[in-house]
Amino acid sequence: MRVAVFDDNIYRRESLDMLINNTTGMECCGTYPDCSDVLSNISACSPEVVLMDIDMPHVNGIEGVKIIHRNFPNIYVLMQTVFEDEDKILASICAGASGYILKKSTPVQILQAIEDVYSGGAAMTASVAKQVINAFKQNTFTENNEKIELSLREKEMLGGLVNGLSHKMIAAKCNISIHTVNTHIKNIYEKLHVNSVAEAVVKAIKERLV
Amino acid sequence: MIVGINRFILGVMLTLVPMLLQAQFSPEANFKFKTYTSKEGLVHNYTKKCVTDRKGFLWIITQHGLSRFDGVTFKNFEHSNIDSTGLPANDLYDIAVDKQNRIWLSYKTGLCCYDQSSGKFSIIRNGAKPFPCIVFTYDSLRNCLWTADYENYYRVDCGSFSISQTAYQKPPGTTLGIEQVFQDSKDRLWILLDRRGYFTIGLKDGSQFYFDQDIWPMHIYEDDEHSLWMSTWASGFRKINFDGTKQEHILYSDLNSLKSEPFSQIYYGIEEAPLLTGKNILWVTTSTQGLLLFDKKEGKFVHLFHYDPSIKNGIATDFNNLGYTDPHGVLWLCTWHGLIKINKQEQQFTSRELPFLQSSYYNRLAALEDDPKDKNILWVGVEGSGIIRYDKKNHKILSRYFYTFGDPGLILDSLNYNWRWTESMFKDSKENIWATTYGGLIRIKNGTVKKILLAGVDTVYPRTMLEYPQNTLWIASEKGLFSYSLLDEKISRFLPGGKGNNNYLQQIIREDTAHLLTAGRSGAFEFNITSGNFRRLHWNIKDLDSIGQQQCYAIQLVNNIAYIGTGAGLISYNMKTNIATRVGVAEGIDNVQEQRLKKDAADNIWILTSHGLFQYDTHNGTMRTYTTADGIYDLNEDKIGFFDYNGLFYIGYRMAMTVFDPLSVNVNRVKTQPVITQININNLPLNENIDSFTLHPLSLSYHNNNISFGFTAPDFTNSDKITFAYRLEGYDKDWILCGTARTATYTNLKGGNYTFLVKACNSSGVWNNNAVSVRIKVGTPFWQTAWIYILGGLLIFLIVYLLYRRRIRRLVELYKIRDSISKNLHDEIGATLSSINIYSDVARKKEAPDTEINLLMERIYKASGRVMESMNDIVWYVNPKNDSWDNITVRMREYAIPLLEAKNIRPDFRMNETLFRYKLDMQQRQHVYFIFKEAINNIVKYAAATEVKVTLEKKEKNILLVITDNGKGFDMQTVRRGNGLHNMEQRAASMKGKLQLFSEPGEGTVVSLQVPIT
Repeated sequence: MRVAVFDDNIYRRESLDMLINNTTGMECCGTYPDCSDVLSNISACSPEVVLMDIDMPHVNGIEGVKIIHRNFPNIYVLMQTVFEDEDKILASICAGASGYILKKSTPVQILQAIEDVYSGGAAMTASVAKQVINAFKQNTFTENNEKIELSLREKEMLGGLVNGLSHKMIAAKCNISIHTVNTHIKNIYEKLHVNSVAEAVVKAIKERLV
Repeated sequence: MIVGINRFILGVMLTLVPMLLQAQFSPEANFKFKTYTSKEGLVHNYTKKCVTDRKGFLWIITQHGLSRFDGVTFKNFEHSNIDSTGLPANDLYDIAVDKQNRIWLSYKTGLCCYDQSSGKFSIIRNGAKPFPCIVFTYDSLRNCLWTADYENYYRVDCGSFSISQTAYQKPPGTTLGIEQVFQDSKDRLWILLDRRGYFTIGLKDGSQFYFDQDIWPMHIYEDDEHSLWMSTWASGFRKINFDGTKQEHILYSDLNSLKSEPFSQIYYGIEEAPLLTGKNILWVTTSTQGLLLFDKKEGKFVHLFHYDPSIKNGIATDFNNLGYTDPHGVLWLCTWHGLIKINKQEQQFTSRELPFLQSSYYNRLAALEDDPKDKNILWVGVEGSGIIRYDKKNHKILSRYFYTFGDPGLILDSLNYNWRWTESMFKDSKENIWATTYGGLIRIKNGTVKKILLAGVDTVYPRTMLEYPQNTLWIASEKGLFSYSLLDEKISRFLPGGKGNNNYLQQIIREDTAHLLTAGRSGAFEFNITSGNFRRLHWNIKDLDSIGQQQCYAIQLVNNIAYIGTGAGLISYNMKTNIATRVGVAEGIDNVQEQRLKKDAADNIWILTSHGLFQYDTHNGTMRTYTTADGIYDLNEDKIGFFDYNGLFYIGYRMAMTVFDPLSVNVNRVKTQPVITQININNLPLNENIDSFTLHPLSLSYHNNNISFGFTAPDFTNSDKITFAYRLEGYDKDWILCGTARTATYTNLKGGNYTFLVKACNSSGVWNNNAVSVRIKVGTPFWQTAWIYILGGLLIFLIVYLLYRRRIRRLVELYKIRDSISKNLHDEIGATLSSINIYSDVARKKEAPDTEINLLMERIYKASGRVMESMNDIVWYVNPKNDSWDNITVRMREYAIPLLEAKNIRPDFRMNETLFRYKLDMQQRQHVYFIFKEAINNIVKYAAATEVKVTLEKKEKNILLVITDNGKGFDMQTVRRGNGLHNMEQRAASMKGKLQLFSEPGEGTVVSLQVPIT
């Protein structure tokens, strides 16, 4: 599995490079300090998963995700951030990221997250789930004149996440398999990837961030 | 107006019926004389003359002082030695009002003038000497006074106060004094000389005529038709015809009773009172013998008013001075015992007490009926005293049907005993008179009286009756409804309530050709004459006593609306729609007893209640109230009769009665004009001409801003019912209805222009929208001027704004610092730390396990992980975005749930979401989160629990976070308090919260944290 790393911190780039290359079945095909040349970078190393820092100088991670998602829709982008910053995480998801991980995560967790993203898994923490609910509450999203809404089940998933439940606990509570929980969360991700949603949420969050 | 006289004579006669037992006759008019004495505030009871000024006030001179009267209060003036501008003498002789509304007064030694606008009396002098002028008259054409003595007559100019005199061509010689100076409409002056004759002086040509007979003239009066009338002392009452050269006197005969006593022939004042007695009657006062009415057409005295204490509101004395008819037609009499008022508007009710017919018995006039055959016979029903046959012509009681008197044929049994209880009388088409009485009916047929028992019922008490159709009588009794046939004397009985039930009926009236209406203790019913069936009138009016409203005592019908007097009030019942409503709620009519409802020819319903007589106009729904103030007696009696006779309504009380004509009880439509009489500034009266402030404002400095206004309305019709409304324009938004109060006070008025307005409403509730006003200008102190206010306002605004700006700027700075700290930690230190973490992990895995380097690497790995975790917390605290309970609870869950789940502890979070909006500052957030983490860690480490409950709720002004586990707990006495607990308590204290810990072995642990809401 080919992994590309975008991070402005040189030690972080190096350490991740080391970690990935020391893992069987993974190869770090390139590390870049920012996204100012993201298209050529991606074309050059053609990764399957991109590990993307959110805060970078020049062109930041959210912009980078957007560009990658538009041009290489099959590449999974895993956002990484030092600390939880729900607004930015949500913005990244809307821009096309397939998952996110905190930098404080242990190397095992990092590698697991890369694997999960690659195999179509999706994770979401309580604070981000809450942001998702709010985004859908406060805005009306449409795609091709169809209203995009969260399904009842998806709302239930998010509610469980907000209450701090793990996927396992949600599965137990809703009497479904973990796999189904995962699918629901993935669907939520996909709904967030829909262009109108992404634009609106990103815009809203940007306004708040400024 | 002769009609009026006849009517009152009729009334008089009727009121006298019972009195005739005492076999005496004294004619009484039904005029109500209202007497004012010193008790009411009059300056002295010996009143001499009165006159109305240009504002309507009545001025009264007395033997001791001067009074001004507005209908309610007397303003009195008495002589004082200290005040040189006060009244110069107390014993006043004559009075007049000039064009400037000044009051001219004469006294034994002089003449003075009272200026109302300045409040000062000025003495008029003839050169240096005082000018004694006993009597005078005001000449409005020349604006002067005319006065005289026995040598000259004088002219006093009211403008310059100068006096000129003209001598008589033929002085009459000495006389004791002048009785009257009078100016007639032909510009002649009449000078009446005491115990001599009189002068007639032509003011245009100066001609003088002396009537040289010692007729002892007392008073001369010119009536509406310009006839001159003269009263004399012992020389009769005269009419004077004067063609310019010759005077002819017509002497009118006296009342016989007066003739026999020469001294009583002192006639005194002469007045007309057209509103009271029409054009033909002159009111003549006598000094000692009462008040006479003289009919000009008939040329004789027709009536004498004498003092009689048994007449309510009768004339208070026989000792009179002059009379005066004011511009509103109210007749005033100055007497030796006060001032008397006779007001047409107040003549609606005539009341008098009745003498005892039989000292020990109840005595109430219940009914009157003329005998159908003999026009001179009147049948009188007196409840408690039987039936009386009365000779109207000779004013004599002919016989009395009563158990101890009456017909010789009467048997004195228990039934006859009860004859004295007459309730009502009724005349049928067969010329019988019927009276209802205890046990049955009394029939008066051709002058013979017979009692008819309503057979089969022992103690029946009929109340009212009627005849319909002809020859059938219907009698309402407390034992049901009876019919009595005049043809075959057959009696039938109908029961509205059914057999054995309450069939107590009080009143019966006719509804239409087929129906009667009854009112009784068990309700009101419509009775079908042909079928003999009763139909109950159903109603239930909310908020009205449910039993009381079904107890009916009286009923009347107007245009298909039945008016029913009940124990809970008056009800109107629409016979067509069957809808009932209450009438007289505002007037407080809450109980209408038996016989207390009558209907007059103008469709008014009259209601007698314990707090007044009410007149309800069924056409426009208005209600009018009459009380004792209008001349009726107090109605607070157990039983009162209410009946009509010859178009008049009679109210029969125990031992008294009232008569009135329901159609002539009219409204007072004369509007009343208020007057502002006084202005007090800071509680001191203002001695300036108040009238002048209508145009030019009264200027006051800013500290004279406590102002009160006194006002009144000179109106002599039920004056105590006059109400007022006032308004200070520039202060009051609307009129203030002040009822009968006659002052208004304003304190601490701000500088500015104001107009004070008063309007008045007469006794019948008619407002006069023509308000009287005064303008006032209150100065503004410099510190209250507009620019000071603007400046002050700006200053305060500026300070507040600056403070606000500073606070905002500091907050923004703080946020910026916090933001940059978190960013720096995040970007630089965080990222590098995480790479150390990864490096150490990668390095560790490159070494074989359990080597020294591997162990060290693992330590680096763990330490960097710990630091990252702590830093993660710090960044979270510092970030201003997280300053709410909302965020902290999410974080708490994120922290706790994975930990608890790993230990198979079931978490149960119950957070009250309404608390999420409350804010926590950075410090508090840190403490709360720390305490929570500590508590969760303790549970995970030591508690061995299976369930953890976390609740967040509001308690008073605190937010309460409670963490409960069901673990093994500990003994709070023995377990050493560790650092953790101490730390938690300190953190709680530092944010003014409270931490409590409860635990018992085997009972789990409760950690409760109280955080004050900020």
